[in-house]
Amino acid sequence: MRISIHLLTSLALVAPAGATTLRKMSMNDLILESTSIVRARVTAARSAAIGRDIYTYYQLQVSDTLKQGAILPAEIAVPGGVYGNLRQIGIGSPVLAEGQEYVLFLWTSRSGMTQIMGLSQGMFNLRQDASGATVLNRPAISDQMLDKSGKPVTDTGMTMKWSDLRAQIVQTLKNPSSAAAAKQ
Amino acid sequence: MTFPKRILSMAAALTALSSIASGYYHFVYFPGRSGPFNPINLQFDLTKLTNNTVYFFISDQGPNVFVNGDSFTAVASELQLAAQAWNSIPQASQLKLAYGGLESASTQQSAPGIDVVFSDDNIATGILAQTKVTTYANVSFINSNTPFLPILRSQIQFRKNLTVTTPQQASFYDSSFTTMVHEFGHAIGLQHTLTSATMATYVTRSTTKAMPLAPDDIAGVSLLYPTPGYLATTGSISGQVTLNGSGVNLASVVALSPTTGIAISNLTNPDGTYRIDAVPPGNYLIYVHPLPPAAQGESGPDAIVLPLDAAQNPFQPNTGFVTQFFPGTRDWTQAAQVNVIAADTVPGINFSVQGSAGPVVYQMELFGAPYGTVEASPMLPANGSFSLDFYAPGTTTASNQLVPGLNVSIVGNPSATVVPSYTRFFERYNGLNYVSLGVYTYVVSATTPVALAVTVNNDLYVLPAAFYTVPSGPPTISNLVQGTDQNGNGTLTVSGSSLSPATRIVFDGAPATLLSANPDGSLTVSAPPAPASYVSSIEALNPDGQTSGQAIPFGPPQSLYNYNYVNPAAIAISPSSLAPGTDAFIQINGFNTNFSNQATTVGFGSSDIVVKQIFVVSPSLLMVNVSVNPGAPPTATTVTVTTGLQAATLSLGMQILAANPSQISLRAPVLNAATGLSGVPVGGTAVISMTNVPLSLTGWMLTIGGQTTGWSLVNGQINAIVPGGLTPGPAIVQLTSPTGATVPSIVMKIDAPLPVISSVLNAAGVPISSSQPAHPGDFLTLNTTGLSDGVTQITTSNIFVTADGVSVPVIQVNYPAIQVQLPLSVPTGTVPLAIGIGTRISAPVFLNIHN
Repeated sequence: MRISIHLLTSLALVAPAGATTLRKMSMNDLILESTSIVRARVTAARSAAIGRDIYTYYQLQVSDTLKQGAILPAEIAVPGGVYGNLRQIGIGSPVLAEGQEYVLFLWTSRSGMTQIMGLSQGMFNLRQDASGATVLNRPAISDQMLDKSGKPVTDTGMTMKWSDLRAQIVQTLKNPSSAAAAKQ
Repeated sequence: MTFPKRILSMAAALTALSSIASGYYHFVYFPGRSGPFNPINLQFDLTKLTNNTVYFFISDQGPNVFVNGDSFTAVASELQLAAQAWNSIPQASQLKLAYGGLESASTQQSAPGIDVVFSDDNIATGILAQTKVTTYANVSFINSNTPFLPILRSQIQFRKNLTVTTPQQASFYDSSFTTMVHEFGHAIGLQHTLTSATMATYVTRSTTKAMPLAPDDIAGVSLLYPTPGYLATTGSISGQVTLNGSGVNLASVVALSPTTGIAISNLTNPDGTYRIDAVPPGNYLIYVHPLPPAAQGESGPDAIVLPLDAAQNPFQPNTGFVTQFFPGTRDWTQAAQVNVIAADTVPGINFSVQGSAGPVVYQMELFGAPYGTVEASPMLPANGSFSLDFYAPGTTTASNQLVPGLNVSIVGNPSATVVPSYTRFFERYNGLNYVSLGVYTYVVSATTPVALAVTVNNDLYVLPAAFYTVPSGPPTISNLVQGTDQNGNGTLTVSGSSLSPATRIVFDGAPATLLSANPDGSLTVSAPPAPASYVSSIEALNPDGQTSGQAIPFGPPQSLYNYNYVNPAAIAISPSSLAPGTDAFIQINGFNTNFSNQATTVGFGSSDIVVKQIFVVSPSLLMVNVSVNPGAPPTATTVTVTTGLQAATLSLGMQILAANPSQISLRAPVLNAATGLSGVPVGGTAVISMTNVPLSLTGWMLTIGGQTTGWSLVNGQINAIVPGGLTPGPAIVQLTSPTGATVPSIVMKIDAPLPVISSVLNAAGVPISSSQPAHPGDFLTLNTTGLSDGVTQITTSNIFVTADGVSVPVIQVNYPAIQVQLPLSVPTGTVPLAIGIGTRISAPVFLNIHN
């Protein structure tokens, strides 16, 4: 048998190609690469057209700011939506529920548009666990994900206590170089 | 076993075919929330398009950071090749994609089209490409008679910085190309599927740059834009998927051929009913599987955009069931084969599925390295044994073991088998558990997709084209020799392995013309024109789906061609303004250009300006007929003339004027009254259509090629005699009012004198006559004169022969002798026989044909 038993050592070369290929982001990636991190409730949604693009803007009622950039976003943009008599379908775009509370890792572009990082990776539901503690929860993402070297990886989802997240954010932002080094 | 099929009456079958009810993975609406459910798909409205053609435009604000060796020229060229993939199935789909040139964001447009843009500002971190499809928001009017909803515009977005993703995005990577094809698929109305086709998401896709579409893609697009008669050559399968007696919405039902390996799929309606249409005749195994679960925030599983009702409320999917083959088994060896024949439907393929919390095994990805480099969905040469590795959730345990009951097998398919007892846990790598699999491959005559079935105690997963068995190895390029032809144009001789006359050589996506297949196996091609000092990557694409690039999926281009052009190409146009609702001719003068009949395209950067005809007068002169949409808003557009990799652009050089509803217009093309074709010889009658024809044309003057001619107005059309003295080629048609005002002129084609059939001989060389008649099936030799017009190549594919309207196949060309074979269906008696090439058709000779 012609054996290629060490295929895995070359997996970094394997092709990604897809409409929604995401880079898997660790919690430290999310903390360091985001421009702001908020705990917020979605209070309303509206649509707007920018050039030929339609976006759905979700208004946020921010209850806690864990990382604050130059701009503290009051709303976030998601591609697609309804504007006038036009409906633009953003394939794979996330949908947020009005009234739902989230922890959001956000990225604001140079043009000022704020979006969720890594499609759904930077979006966590909040719920109470059996002990009554507030925990963040994000299920595994089904889209293809790659690590930083291009290797395909499976997202395992994430569950974390709110208090632990706060502590990690504080620690990571206080000493970003060591956090970055720890990721290597 | 073969499932007994209930034969429908032909009438019933035709009724079904005329009212396509299948949704495929399209963007779907339903009029209401109760059945019967007849999907209404989003698609381009062909009645709003000219020649069923959707223009795509590439933003003039291209990427600004490239992988080494890449360029905007290469990106634009690869995009054009990717769009061509959807034009490669004219037997199945009427829709055509055409490059409309570079586009300015300031250009206002009203007609449907596709915009390709590049931006990092509004694309979330990590996404390579994203497509948006725009339609009407208010669809409250839809009902069961609504045939479709129109796509008003689509937008494909790539990154502006092609180095910020991991891995980076070079246009010369095969994977970048398949992504482009995938995005164009979304843009014309296709969603994700799970059959390893181009429209599959990344994880299960296995198409290649040389084989960009799979049968499932062809089925999907043929249902939106079917050619007349195509669907009658295919069959259908219908049934229902239920869970505890209730219909299962958005279950994926797949017809998988156990012999050819092809897979065609569809999704169920809200009541669980489904139809799989456009299935090539043959035997199929049918299975139903749940879509992978939706990620948080996604609007649907597998990033599927959920069906909507008329009030825009979605129909939620059901992914909580276990995969099964028909009839109700997880063991594919016990599954029934369903025989599909053309123009018929196999009904009653129903599934009663078992509930579950969702799929246990999904998103399998399989790797192999038949030539030392790892490939996903590898192409394995025949008569070999290979070790493959895969990972898929649900196949291994946390303690690094295979899950109990795991079994991997090849579904049907005599082209490969799994090696018994070789399947084993391989190792944990980068947080994932991999399984090793051994397979044998057997001799195949064509590239054959191989489906894998993975069974565990509580689930079944099928990956339709996990890998391919191929007759031989991929093309390789070992040496390149640059040269020049007798005209000083660049040539390239490509040496390597597995090269043949059927191999396509592309220069950064631009196809090269084959000049010769050499005795040593090398190929000599002409180099497509390119920008000054350009360096192009070279790739070989074989018809078996393999490419010379597959071995270096992320490496720098291995084969380069250095151009020695010095000066950049440029253009000037006249006139530089157009009126809405008119046809007009544009003269384009090129500087340092290489215009050619085979490779030059013209785009006006707006879907409101349609190119009707291009006449290449010389390498530096074009005459173009265009048509302007009556609803076009006043705006400036960008003109782009592309030849190979060479693009000459006039930014915002064309102005669309304000509309004048009473504007008189001549309409292109001008037709020959005798043939109905768009070429008229000197002395022939030209038919010129008009709009907004004045009540009287008394005193008006018509010129063709600058010469006045006799003409008359008949039923709103001008019939004009083509004046003598004109040389073959384009001639300007000008209509002038008595006051000297001119109507926008158009260009017509002056044909060379018509060909003549001087004699017809039978196989013995005896002229056909009443005493020596021809017979159906006979080989005949037509001796001709005047076939050549100096431009059109005299080849079997360019020549056509008819006998009383019946097509007569051209067998061989030994000009001026043309060998044909009378078909068995040829009429008998004294039959008119004519020969044609391009728009020129001979006068008939009358042939005695007896049975």
